[in-house]
Amino acid sequence: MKNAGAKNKSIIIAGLLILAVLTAAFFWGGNYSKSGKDNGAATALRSKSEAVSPPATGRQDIAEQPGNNPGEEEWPDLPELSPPQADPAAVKSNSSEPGMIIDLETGKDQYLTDLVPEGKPVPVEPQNAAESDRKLTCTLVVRCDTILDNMNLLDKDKWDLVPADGVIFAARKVTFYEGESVFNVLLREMKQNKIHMEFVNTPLYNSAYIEGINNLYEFDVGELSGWVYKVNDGWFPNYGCSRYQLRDGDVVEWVYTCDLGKDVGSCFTMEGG
Amino acid sequence: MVHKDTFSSYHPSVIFLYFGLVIIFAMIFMHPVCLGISLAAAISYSVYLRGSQAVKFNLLYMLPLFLIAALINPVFNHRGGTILAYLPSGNPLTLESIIYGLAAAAMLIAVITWFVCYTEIMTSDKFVYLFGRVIPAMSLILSMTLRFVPNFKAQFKVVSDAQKCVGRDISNGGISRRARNGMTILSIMVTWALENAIETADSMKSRGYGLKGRTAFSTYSFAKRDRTILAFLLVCAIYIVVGAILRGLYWRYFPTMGGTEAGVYTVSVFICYLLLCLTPLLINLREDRKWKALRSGA
Repeated sequence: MKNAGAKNKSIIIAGLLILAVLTAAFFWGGNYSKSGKDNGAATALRSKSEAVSPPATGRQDIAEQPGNNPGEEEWPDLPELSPPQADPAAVKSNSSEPGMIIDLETGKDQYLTDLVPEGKPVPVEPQNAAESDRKLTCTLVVRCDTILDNMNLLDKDKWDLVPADGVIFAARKVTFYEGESVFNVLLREMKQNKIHMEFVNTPLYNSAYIEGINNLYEFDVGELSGWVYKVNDGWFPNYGCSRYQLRDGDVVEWVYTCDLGKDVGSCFTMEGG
Repeated sequence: MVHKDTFSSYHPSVIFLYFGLVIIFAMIFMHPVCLGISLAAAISYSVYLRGSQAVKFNLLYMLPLFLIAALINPVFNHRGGTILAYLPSGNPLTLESIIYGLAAAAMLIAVITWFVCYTEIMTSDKFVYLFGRVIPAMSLILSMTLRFVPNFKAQFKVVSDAQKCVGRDISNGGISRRARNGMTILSIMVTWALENAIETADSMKSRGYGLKGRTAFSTYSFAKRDRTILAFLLVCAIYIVVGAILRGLYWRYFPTMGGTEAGVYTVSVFICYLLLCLTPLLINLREDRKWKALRSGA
C-alpha cells in the first residue's frame, strides 16, 4: 500500500508540473493581447468579410470583373467549361476579361483566395501575365511608421534600421512594364536603391511573400507583425503581390503592420504581402 | 606521434567538468574570438591525443563539413545590411550571412572535435564511476550507447573476416553476390547487437548493478592536483560567465555585425577562456617537459 501511495503521489506531482509548465508557456509565450475585447473585434471583422462573399450554394455563376465594367453583368445560365484546370464545380466568366475561377465547395479559387470585392481587380497569375515593352508608371511607397509606436517590442539591435519618420522608400513615380506585378516593381526598385529585401515564393498561394524589407522582418515587432501592401484608395488585396497586375497610375503602398493589418487600416486581415 | 595524456589520469569529476564547460561554452558563445579559441584548442588537443589519425579525420571529414555548412547558410539566409550581390532567385547575398555561416560551421566543428576528445578521455568506466550511483539505468544506457559504434565496428570486422574465410565476404563475387553477402553480414550484426545489449543488461543486473548498498571498486582518488585543477576550472568558468552576463562577449551578426569594443576587460575574459580550453594541453606539456628533464638528468 505504501508503494502505491508513493506512486500516486508522483503521478500527482508530475501532473501539477505539466500544468505549471503549460500555464507558464501560456503567459510567457507570445505578445499579442489576450483580452476579450480583441476577440470581439476579430469576430466583427470576420462577419464583415463574410458579408462580402456571396452565398456559395448550388451551381451558381460567380465571376469577378476588373472594375469599370458595369455593363457586363449578364452571365449565361450554364457555366462554360474552359481552361483544362477548370473544376466541374467551378465557373468562369465568358467575357474576354479574365475572371476568377471559384470552387463552389470552398468559396475560394485555386490558390485559396476568397472572392475579390466588387470593382476590384482580380488576381492575374504571374505565369499567365502577358508582359510587353510598354512603359507605364506607378507610385511606390515603403513605410514602417507603425514600428515607431512599438519600438519596445523591436530588438534593440534593429533600432537603427527604423527611420525617424518611418519612411524607407519615399513616394515616387517608378516605371514598370505593362503586365508586371506589384512584386516585380518592388523587387526592381529595392535592388536599384540598394535597399535590402527578402521574399520567399509560396506555391500554395502562387505568389511571392515579402519576409523583410530593410532588414525589418515579419514577426520582428510581435507575432502579428509583417509587411502588407495596399493599392490606390487603401485596399489591401486579399491575394499575393505577384498576382496583382499593375495598371498605369496605380499607387502601391508597402506598410509594416504590427497588428495583423488593424493598425494600418485593413478591414480584411489576410496578409497579402 | 601520439602522446601520453596526463590529463586522462585526473579524477573523472575534473575531466567531466572540463568537457562539460568547454562543450557548453563552445555552443553558447558566438563571438568570433571565442569560436576561434574553442576551435583551435579543440583541434590541437585532438591532434595531441590521436596524432596523424586526427589530422586525417579533420582534413577528410571536418574540412568538407565546414565548407558545406558555411556555403549553405547564404543560400537560405538573406538577412544582413551589406548586400554583396543578388542570387539568381532575386534574394540578396549578404556579407553577414556568409560570416554567420562560417561562424556556425566553426561552432559545429568545434563541438564535434570536443566530443572526439571527450570519447578519447572520458571512458565509459569513468562515466559509470561518476554516475553509476546517482542515475544507474541512465548511465548504463549512455555508456552502452556511446560504446555502440566502436563496438559495432570491431565486431563487424570479426564477422567480415570470418565470412571471408568461407568466401562469403562483401569482397567476393559479382555485384549481386556481394550484395547478398552484405545482407547476410548485416543480419548477423543486427542479431549480435540486440543480443549483446540484452546480455549486457542481464549481466549487470545479475551483479546487482544499481542496488542499494552495492560498492564498486575503483582506482580513482581525488588528490591535491585534482583539487587545484578543479578550483582553477571553477574560477575560470565563473569569470567567463560573469563576463558573458556583463555583455563582454556580446557579438551580433544581424543586421550589421558588431560587438562590445575590445577593452582590457573583454581581452581578460578571452584570455581566461583560452586558458580554460588549453588546460589539458598545458598540463600535458608541463608533464612532458618534466619527463624529459628527468631522463636527461639521469
